[in-house]
Amino acid sequence: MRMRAAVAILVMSMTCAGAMAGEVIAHPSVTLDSEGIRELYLGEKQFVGPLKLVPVDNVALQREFLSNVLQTDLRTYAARWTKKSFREGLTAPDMKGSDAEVAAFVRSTPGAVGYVGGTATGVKVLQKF
Amino acid sequence: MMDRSRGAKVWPVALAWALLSAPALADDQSDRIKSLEERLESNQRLIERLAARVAELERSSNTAKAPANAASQAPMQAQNPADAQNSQALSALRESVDQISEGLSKRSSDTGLPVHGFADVGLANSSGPDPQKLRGFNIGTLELYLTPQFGNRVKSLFELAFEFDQEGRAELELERLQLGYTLNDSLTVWAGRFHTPFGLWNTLFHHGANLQTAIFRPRFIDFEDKGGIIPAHSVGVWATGKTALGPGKVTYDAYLTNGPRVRARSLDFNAFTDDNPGKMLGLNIGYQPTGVLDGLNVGVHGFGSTVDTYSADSSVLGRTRLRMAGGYLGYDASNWEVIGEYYRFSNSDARTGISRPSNAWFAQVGKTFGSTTPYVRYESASLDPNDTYFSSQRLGRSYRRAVLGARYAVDARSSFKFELSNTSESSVVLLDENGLPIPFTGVAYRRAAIQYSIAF
Repeated sequence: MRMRAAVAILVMSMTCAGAMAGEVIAHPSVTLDSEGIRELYLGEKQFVGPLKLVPVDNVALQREFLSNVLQTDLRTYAARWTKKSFREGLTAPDMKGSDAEVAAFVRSTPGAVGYVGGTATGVKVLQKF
Repeated sequence: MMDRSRGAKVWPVALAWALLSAPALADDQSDRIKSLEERLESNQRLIERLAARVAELERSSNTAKAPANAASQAPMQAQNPADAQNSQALSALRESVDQISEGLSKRSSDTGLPVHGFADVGLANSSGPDPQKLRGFNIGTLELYLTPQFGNRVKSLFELAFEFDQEGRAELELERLQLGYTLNDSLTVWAGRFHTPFGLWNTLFHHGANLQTAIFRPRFIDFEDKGGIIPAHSVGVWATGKTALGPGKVTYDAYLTNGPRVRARSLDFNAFTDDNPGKMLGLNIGYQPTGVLDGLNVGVHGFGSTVDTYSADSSVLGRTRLRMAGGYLGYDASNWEVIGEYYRFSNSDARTGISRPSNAWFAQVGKTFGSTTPYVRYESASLDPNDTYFSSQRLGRSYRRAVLGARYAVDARSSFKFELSNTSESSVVLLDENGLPIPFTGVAYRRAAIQYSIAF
């Protein structure tokens, strides 16, 4: 019985671990909930108090982030930012090339928010996805 | 040593070899770039592995230190030189990993200011009385815009449009020059020349052919030089923003700009300066619910100004108090695209005070199936012919138009469109450049057009 329970727990934990794609990370100066993260990446939010937010995308994990966090796809996301840029003069999040780049940028830039597949040091984890 | 005759033979051979090997050199260069990219990727992977290893070593070092501390201080002191060496090596490694990562993280920020834009080409044909007289291939508008940011709150938007008018003359126009300041998420103030924020269509699509589903704008909100009867552009100040309210957001726009004038039978929004003290004041208040109604946008809009109509010799033919109030609805979700706008004019003659109501509206519905969006639109304008504001404009007359078309999204940044329309216009007496009446006989015409558009 104990053996079965242990196997079940192991299988469940493996399933959960498989479902998690990454973490939304931020500079330690940033406090943002999941709705705030969504609004930030959809161009609806630019500030937390007086702090200007600087979102960055991660080419290695963008599909998973868009699907799991924003519930959208690359095409819709790109079209949305084209409209935002054209109408409101906003700039789409800068694209970074890897987890290491995102982590280094977020760590060194006040207001920065990004997402990585692994664990990054010196940053605040806002959400797992 | 090489003699002259041998040299003379060698040079053509060398030249031929150089010419023949040029493509090979290009290939070599391409291979080299590919190889460098592979090396860069490999280095990035190495950095990530090193970072993970550093973290692992740090953790194991800390774990090893804890029991050692508990056991004895003396052996700990004996291990200190080795620990110190390890620690130094780890710090150095960590520092170099951080430096490389930081360098890479800043790489894409140093590529300069991105230029965005739209372009479109097409083919169109219309029957005789169409004011646009479409008879063949055309290039639409090449649109370039920049959105440089200056610090955290100051931003700007510059837009240039290149196009040809009906006479085939090339035109270059500074479409927008906006300097803005963002106070917070709820308010941005712009000053300069901008797209007048009435309804939805004018600011959502404007010259962005690839953004809009249809090929042509509704006629009555077309650009001033194409017969639009409302100023699509304005020069002045504009406050805009949105704020949460209940299960959604309230959006708002308020603007104070130079009022328009009518001259040479066209609307002129006074880009340089105003021709009279009557500024244009406008409001646009909307609501965007979330949840099951996410994608819906409903609102009311209105503007007012004093508009003078000028004759060819610059004398004032009439002065109109322009007053418009209306509403709009948009829906963009679940593969549906709906947009409708209503304009109710209560213009009055500034001299006599006589009020002359008019109205105009359109509704467009589209539904996306895969990459294709078929759509229909109906538009109508019922304009009082005794209102000088309308009758002095070239296309300031009542009409009805039915539109049917389809847009095929080739990819995220290009589309192919096909559109048919049928227009009928009523008989009316208009005014020429000197204020003299010109009878216009009612007409009906058809138009067919295809367009290929891109966004970049």
